[in-house]
Amino acid sequence: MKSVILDSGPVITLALNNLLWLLESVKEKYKMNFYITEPVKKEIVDNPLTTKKFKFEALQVLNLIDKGIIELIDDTKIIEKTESLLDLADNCYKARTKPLKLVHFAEMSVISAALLYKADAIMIDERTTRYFLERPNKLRNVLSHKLHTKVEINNRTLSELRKQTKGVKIIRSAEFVMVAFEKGLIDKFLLDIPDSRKTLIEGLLWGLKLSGCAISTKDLEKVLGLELKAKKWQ
Amino acid sequence: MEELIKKDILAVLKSTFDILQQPEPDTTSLKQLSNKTIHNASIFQDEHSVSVAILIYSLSKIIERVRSKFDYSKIKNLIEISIEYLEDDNLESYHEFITQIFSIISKTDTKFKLYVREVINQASIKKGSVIHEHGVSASKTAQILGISLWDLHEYLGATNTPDIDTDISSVRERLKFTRTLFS
Repeated sequence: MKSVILDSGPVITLALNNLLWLLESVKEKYKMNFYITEPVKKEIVDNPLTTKKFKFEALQVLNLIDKGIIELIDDTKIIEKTESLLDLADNCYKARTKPLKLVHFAEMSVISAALLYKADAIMIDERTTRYFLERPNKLRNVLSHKLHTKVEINNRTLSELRKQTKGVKIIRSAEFVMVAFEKGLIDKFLLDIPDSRKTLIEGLLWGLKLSGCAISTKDLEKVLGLELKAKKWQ
Repeated sequence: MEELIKKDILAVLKSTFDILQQPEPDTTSLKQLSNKTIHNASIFQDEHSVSVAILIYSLSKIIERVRSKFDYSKIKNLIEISIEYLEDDNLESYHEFITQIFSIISKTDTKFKLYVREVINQASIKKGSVIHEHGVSASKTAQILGISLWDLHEYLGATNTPDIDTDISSVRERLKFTRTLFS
């Protein structure tokens, strides 16, 4: 059994590309369990249900929760851990003497859940949270460049945050869908057209990128090249 | 309100007033001006910097749409009063007058009512994408602006923000790791 905690971004990306069904296929075939936290559910189900534009997408996600494909973790320990991690995160960077509050409670709850439930991975599409854990200096450079001001790192707080979040593995919806493709789970879309394999991978990757998965065009083309060279990973 | 925020908002409102004084207000300059308070919005995450950015961007879009039909004198008058209140640190009255400017924009033309509402919403999402580009996470940005994460996510896909993030080796490693989850 593998377990993956989902952030809001990948669920939105999959929903906008009509790929939510893939979670069910992967769960059934590869015994992978998917979880969301209560603050993430609020973002991807509760909030859009009160609006007009993404109500139907929210219903599709809720349907997956009702069917147990995505499991909701409602645990006060996650909230406590999230508060503590967020407190650290909110004090890692400083600009114009002010601490920069860069991440949201929901995003930190994903990391907290992964730590407490010893998940195999978290799926996060957006850049800032990934950089926080993997490339904090690069994040400082982005902030400094974009805000046109010096950004300082509080090394003590940052190393404490990194120490506490050590071992959390991150994947994006792009990698998830690509491996699902390698495993033949999306073969029903390999249609009788020239270059059908290439067309499908391009369609998938560009669809994910254009609906919010933070993958650069250069990386996307690299993945495309790797996938076209690769044999099927059945 | 932080002194720096106040100083920047005053500068932006005064420049907006000057642009509106022109016989043909330059909407491109207004749009550029709307980004000036966004740096502060990213750092201080205060409602004032955010609302001024959205206000000025919306103003530029509405002026592009209705041009001569727009009631410039009324808006200029309200901006002038807002500036005075802000200079006097009367934040309550300042906020009241900024709200009035939003209200005037919304009532620009009843035929465009739906359009105006959409413009304000789109302005919020657009300014949100700039805050996100500055390094604030998507969820946090949506929270600061009070916009839907779904809307923001969809909009971000059409921007070139992810193109700054290039790291081929991590892509290869991430793919390799993901394969282990499918075993």
